[in-house]
Parts: sequence; structure tokens; C-alpha cells
Amino acid sequence: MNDVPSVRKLLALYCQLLDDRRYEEWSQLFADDAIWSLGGHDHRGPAGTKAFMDQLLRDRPQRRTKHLNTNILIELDGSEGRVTSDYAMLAREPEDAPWRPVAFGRYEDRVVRRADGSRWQFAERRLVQA
Amino acid sequence: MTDEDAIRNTIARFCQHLDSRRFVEWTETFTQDGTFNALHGRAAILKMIQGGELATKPDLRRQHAVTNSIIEVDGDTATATSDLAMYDRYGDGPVTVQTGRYYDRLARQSNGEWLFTERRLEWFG
Repeated sequence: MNDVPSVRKLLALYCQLLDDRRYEEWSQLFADDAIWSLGGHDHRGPAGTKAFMDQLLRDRPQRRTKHLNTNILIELDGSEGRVTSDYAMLAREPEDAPWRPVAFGRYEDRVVRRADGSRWQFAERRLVQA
Repeated sequence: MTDEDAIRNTIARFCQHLDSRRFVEWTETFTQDGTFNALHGRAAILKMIQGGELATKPDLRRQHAVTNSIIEVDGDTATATSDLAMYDRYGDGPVTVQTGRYYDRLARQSNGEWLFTERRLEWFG
């Protein structure tokens, strides 16, 4: 079985669901005890990651984002793996402003296949700003 | 992992090593006698990059974002074309973008890894 397409799907869903503000589904991409690390803070599991995004949306309701994920390097070992990739974030704020590239950096991930074999999830995603 | 998956990893490694200024590891995505534009061999490629902007401008942050890869595998060799958006930022200044396209030839090595035998970059004016 080739798991690489499933891992690529996980990375794509992260960007699409996040930019579409579908935070409930997006948070399910994280394993129950996962760590999402950004800006020196760790957020844990689906509840912790969703709480952070819900607050960000309340703080900046007029900001829209587009995450572009490239340079995906996947190294799997059984039901675990390490993935590194690059992101660039475009943003518009307020919503009718032009899109501008505002940030870019790297994702450093640990991914795990769920015990029931159904899909891959993030055990850890660490954002490293370029 | 399929051949195409392994080739995508090589294309990603090229970008990640380069932007993280791991220049020696970066040259190792080429075969020993590989070609990058007009340069032949890892030693010449390393010398070029050590005089380039990433090596000489410490406040430059750069990302080679490579996408739209079209990969054709034929036995132990392959060709690939990919698009490049290169993001630059100096300090807290604005993010700027330039674009181009890579034209690649790769070869499978005895350890199963795929390396560039030839990589050519054309900038879009």
C-alpha cells in the first residue's frame, strides 16, 4: 500500500479547510494528543487547535488567507512519518483588498496513521517562520 | 514509494536545503558530474552558490516554492518540468516574488535515490 497520496491529502486539507474557515473539520486533522506549535506556543489536539482559530477569527474577522504548500518531502516508516514542506501565505484584509504575500516559512511535521488504518493525521506540526 | 514520489522528494530537497543555506547537501541533489545551467559538476555548482545572494546576504530570507511538476519516468531516467515562485524578504520588508520554470533530467542511483543529471532554470522576464 502506498501511503504517500494519503499524506499529501492531509497536507492539502490543512490548507483548504483552514482558508475556508471550516475549523471543526480542520481540527480533526490533528490526533487527539497532537501538538500544533506556532509563534512559540503549543496548542494541543483538535480542541486546542480549534480554540486558537476561533479566537483568531473573532480578532480579525475581515482577514482572508490562502495557504500555498509546496516542496513537500515525505519520509514514511510504517505507520509513522516525518514530513517537511514550505508554505507561503497570501492575505487580504479587509476582504475586498488585493491579495498580497505576507509570510512564508516551513512546516515540520510528524504524521501518524490512525490505528483503524482509515487515514493519516498530524501528531505534530511545527511552523518555522522564514 | 513510487519513482514519482522519490523524484518529488528530490525536487523538494533541492529547495529546502538551498533556502536553509545547507549548500553542500544542496549540491548532493545533483549527480557528481551533474549540470546546473552552464555549470558542470558539484564543485563548480558549490562555488557558484557560495558567492550568491543566500551566502552573502544574511538578512535575506528566501523560499523557492516549486509546484506544477510534470514527471515522466522512463526506466532509470526521468524528465521533469516545474514552475517556480521565489519569495524574498529582507528583514521586516515586503515580500517580493519572481517566477520561472525548471527543466530537469534525473537518474536513479544504486541506492534507489533519484538525482539531477541536468537542471536548467529559465526566469520569466
